Amino acid sequence: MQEVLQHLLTGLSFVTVGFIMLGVVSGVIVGAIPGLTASMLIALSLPFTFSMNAIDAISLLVAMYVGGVSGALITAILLRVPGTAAAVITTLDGYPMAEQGKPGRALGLGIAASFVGGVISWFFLVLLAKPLSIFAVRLSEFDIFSMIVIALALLIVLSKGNMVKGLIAGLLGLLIALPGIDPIGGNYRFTFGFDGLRSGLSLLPVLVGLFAGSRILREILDGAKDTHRPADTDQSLDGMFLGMKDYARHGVNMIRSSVIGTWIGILPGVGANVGSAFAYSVSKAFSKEAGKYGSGSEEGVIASEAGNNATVGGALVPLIALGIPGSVVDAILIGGLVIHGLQPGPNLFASNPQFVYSILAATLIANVFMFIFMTSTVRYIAKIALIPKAYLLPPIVVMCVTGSFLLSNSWFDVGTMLLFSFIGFMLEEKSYPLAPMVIGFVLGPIAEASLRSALMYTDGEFLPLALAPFPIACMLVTVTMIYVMHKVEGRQNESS
Amino acid sequence: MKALNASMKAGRALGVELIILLFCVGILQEVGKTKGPTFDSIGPDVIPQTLAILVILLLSVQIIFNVVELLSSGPEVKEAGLDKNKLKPFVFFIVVTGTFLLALRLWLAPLVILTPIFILVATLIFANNLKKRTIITGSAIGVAIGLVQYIIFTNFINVDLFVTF
Repeated sequence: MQEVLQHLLTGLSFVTVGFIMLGVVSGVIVGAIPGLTASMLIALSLPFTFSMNAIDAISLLVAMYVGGVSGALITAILLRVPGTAAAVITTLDGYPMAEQGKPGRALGLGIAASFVGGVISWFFLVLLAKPLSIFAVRLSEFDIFSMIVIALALLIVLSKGNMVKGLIAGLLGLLIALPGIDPIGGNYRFTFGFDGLRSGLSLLPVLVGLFAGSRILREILDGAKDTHRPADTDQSLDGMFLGMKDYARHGVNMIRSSVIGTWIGILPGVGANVGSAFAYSVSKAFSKEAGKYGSGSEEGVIASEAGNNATVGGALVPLIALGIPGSVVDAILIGGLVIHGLQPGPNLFASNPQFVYSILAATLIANVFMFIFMTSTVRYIAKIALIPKAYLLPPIVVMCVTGSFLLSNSWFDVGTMLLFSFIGFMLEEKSYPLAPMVIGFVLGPIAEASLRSALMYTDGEFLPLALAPFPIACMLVTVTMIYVMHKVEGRQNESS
Repeated sequence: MKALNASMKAGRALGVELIILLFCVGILQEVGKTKGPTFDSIGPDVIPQTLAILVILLLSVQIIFNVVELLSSGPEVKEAGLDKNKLKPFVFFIVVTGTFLLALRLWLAPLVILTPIFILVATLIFANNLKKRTIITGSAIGVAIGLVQYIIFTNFINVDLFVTF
């Protein structure tokens, strides 16, 4: 904690703070625009960070993440159109509050809860990341492999919809990571005769295609539908600033929802939308005014917003401590680390402590700036969100092309981006989740290298590896987590 | 003709599964072609082979489900996804983007000129109208993005594209 605070005061330059502000502003705006997501923004911005130093670049991307999750509440409350899936639960009570003539109060509660959620999850991030990384350094190759398998299993089991489709998507992610250089032998494999595949598929064009390109194709087929409700943004926003009494009254709910959101965020692939839904259902279960939920409950807005923002800090825990992405945005951030010459994993703390502490400090600053920025500009952001998509999407196409090309000045990467735009579009059409595919793609080479290295120690025998204490412990924890998640989800469905 | 329509419908419903299936078959075909020494007990092919077989098995289940669903839903089955009216701008967009990429690839014109043209045309496709306001706004955004790119690629990032004259 001391090191982080030291970096908070002296470690970050004015330029870095400027990039954090830029990240929050762009993240909040993109988050507020329905159809555009933080993952799209971060994937598109990544290539343009090449000329920046690693701390500035990752601070910018983390700030976009914080802003992206937070901004969605504005249109959710004022227009009943959640900017991202993370704010869907916020509409349940936020919009009824706005209809009852209290839009300012709803926004104030949402922004304050987002801030508290972000700060509490940041404390967990700071407290857990270093001890976890110290522990992870001692893990064997097979322990790492079992951890990755369990991360993928959780991701697939907990992904919404059809579990078989989640499994296919995860395995497909592992498969598309295969072409290129064999991680143990160093030979070329599965290149299908293409020279461009000799170094494998690059992460960035794959991500840009899956998350930006496919979205654009979807928007064309949907007719780039816009939200034309400008009158709603002209309402009075009185009562947006909360007093100490409000914090005291809603404190327990804020803290409880933030803790829930943080732990949901730590789980692989479970996004901010699940964090808010979980926090909301727990809050409702504990509330004395449960009947008000869904019709303008202040507690509902707080639980949803504290829950979804807290997932950001939670998701950064496995990323920083273990090098395992907990979400799609984390997978993109891993790409960012690699591009800037940093090796994600437990050794990141030992090899680049200044970088890690700076990023932790940047996360806190991003949350503070998000609070200030959103409180002061909420009305204008709501209006920006109404800009027709016909004007927003073409520049995104240009950024997709130049961003993919920039990576290595290669048209092969542009082709990869186009191919994955269509693949992402078709997979989403058929309800295949993209998150397991991306995480599988990122973790595939690490999993394969770990497994094959471990098998070298046991002469190809699997049993001694599988019976080691750590894989068994991981398995038990996973089964327990899945059981608890399904139990709570079942209760949530019953009550709704 | 009816049989052809039915098979087209089935093909569309199975499209993505068939593409993944083909990719897996491709992986299986490449197994054993990795040249060079092997240092570990399982080598470079066992894991890919296992993964590809697993995906093929899971996809087969999905394909069977899709086919059964398709057959049981009868001729009145709702055309999923692609509406013919929406297909037109979709095809236009693909053609325009392809032309933009080709022009960039062949260095036919600098980015600072191609970008505004592409953005204007794409804006008109997305907006699905030719109103004066759309044309002016699309042009303004195109010129702005073109200039921003010009400034970035001539001052901050080196890129092997035809950025300027």
